[in-house]
Amino acid sequence: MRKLTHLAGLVAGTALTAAALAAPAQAQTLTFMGWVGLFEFQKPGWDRIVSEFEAANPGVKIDYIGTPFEDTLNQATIAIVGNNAPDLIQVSASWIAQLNGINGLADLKPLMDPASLAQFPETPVNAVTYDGRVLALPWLPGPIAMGYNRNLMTKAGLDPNNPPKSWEEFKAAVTAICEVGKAEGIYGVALRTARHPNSAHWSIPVIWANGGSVQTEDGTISFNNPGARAAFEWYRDTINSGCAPDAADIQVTRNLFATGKAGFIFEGPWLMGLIDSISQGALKVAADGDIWIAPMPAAADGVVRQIDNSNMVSISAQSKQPELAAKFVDFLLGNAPTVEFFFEGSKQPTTGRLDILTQGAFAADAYTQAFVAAIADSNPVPIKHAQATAMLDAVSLAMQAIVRGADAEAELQQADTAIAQIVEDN
Amino acid sequence: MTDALVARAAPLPRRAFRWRPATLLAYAAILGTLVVMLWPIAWMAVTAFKTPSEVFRTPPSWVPDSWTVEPLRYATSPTMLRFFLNSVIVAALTSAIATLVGGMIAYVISRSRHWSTDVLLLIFLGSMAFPIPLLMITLYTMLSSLGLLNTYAAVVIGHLLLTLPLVVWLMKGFIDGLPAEVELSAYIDGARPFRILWDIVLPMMRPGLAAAAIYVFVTSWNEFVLGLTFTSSTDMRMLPAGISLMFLQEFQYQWPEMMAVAIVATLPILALFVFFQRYFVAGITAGAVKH
Repeated sequence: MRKLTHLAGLVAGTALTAAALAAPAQAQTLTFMGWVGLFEFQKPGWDRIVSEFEAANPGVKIDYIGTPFEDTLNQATIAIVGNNAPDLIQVSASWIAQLNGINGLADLKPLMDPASLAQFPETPVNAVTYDGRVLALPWLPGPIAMGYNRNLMTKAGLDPNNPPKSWEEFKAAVTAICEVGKAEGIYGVALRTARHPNSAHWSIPVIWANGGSVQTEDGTISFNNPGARAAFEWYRDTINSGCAPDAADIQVTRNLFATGKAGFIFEGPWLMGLIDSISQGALKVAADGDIWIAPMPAAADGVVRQIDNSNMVSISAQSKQPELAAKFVDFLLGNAPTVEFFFEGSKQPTTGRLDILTQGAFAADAYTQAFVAAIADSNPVPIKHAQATAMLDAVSLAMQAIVRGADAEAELQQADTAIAQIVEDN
Repeated sequence: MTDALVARAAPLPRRAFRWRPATLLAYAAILGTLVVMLWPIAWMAVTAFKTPSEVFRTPPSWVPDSWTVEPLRYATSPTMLRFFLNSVIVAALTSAIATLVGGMIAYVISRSRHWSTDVLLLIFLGSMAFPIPLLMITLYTMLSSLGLLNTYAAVVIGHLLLTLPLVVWLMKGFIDGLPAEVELSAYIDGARPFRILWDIVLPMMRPGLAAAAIYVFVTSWNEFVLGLTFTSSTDMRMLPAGISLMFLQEFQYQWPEMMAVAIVATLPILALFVFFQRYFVAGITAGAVKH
């Protein structure tokens, strides 16, 4: 009986060993964490990217981990700290500092082809370069431009084919639209003024347009300067005169503009999709349509400075297959046919590479080219610090107080003190 | 006592009803409270039938210019039904385990005279003071090591950690109000402890168990952070995470669709309360009465 048991064990063990040896090689899986593949307008493009990459790389599978945009930073942080980070992460440029603070991201420079890297504009890449390490590359660029309602400009006696170019012209246009539209509940401009770090972030180009800055010459982050004070005092006066909504968040401002209730807004390339969705086709975005775009108003020195809200792609420092991940990044950003397919479905720039953005379907689209022209000068990370969000929150609080009538210098000094404390604590 | 709590009260004797000022005030307060509580729910229901441009119309309007049932399509899509099923499975499992295990732990704490059970209760109560973010990474690492991420078990374990302490505390209070003499009689008659628990105590604990089960089910149903963190594939997400994934886009929130899904997601909870409300009230209040 014992011999029979031994024989059965030997046979079973041999069979299992043979089965293991004969088993096909495990597929390589790249995990991608982000929010791109969830929405109807982006899903076909994303699915095509995945299927074409997998077809071009037999044995490789892309495993998509969908996370809501608002929670992706938290989810990525938990995964990194929990030693279970995905290979690739879709990130907002402003998150790079924080993820770098936990050593979560790999340097892309040694992984990517230098010829590919050279196709990306310097400003956005420099913004996400820390100690010489390139931690992300622009995927869905988002330079912030000035959207304007051509119909309201005409109604206010302004030339819709000649949008304001300087900050003074912009202020005058806001006032003019406000005066003719106030009775109908139409604002001159839809400003983000809710108590939220994003409101402060969106005020940065207004600060720049007023000749202000967000850091001193020695690199100290500081908002208490004449230009910033002028910018927030303009916020106060515009809101109190009924020309901009009070305590409006992102959703409110977009809805106001997309329903024709505001003359101007500061938004990125996604504006066209938003207008189409919210107005349900009632407003047309075109150079001769109802809504069009122009560069942000220039400061008194004639220089246009813009922020950028790009989606970027990073490789995790914990990735066990960084070369394969880099291959996917190169495909994602540099395979022109799939990039163009994604663009045609999602109606937004779908790569940060200027060589692709200035060709083919991109080149034929005037709307996209207006944003492409702005990419090179748009800064996605004007405050390069892991706690930038906390700093902007302090500025947002100051903004609210100034709008309520507090002294601008005192409030911004208080914000600077809070920022200095954040820097010291970190 | 429990039967008395559950039984209907005898009808009041008939007499002429008078609108006293105090009565008017009471009804006005109740009506005001009802309006305040139902207003957001009513707004949610109306929003589910609006177009995106109507959602933030100024001034706001209860009656949209054009009604649409398009958002309801999302509420019954296969993806949303999958989220719904996942939530039902996790909430039901969590509710069953938390109620059973919590009830038994509470029984031991309530009936035992040993000092260690007081310490055990303190540990359970103290664990409620820990905020979720503090526990998140430790839990995540532990579940990752066990290979449980992206499974129902991971989310159930997380939800049990959230709800078990309160179940123990709730049930302990309820069991304290049950007469110990019945158990003593059974013990004298030769019944073993498990038999006493299963055949005598648990039936008496029904209202408390029902209250605990509903609390755990609702908590698990609404829980977002752990459900999002411990799952990674779309087909394993629970409803709250699923709603966030599908409708809270980077550039736009799809409010009408979210409200439509929220209405559908609320129906199981409403059904639970409708069918079990008398047990729920009895279970919550029984522990408050000392004998």
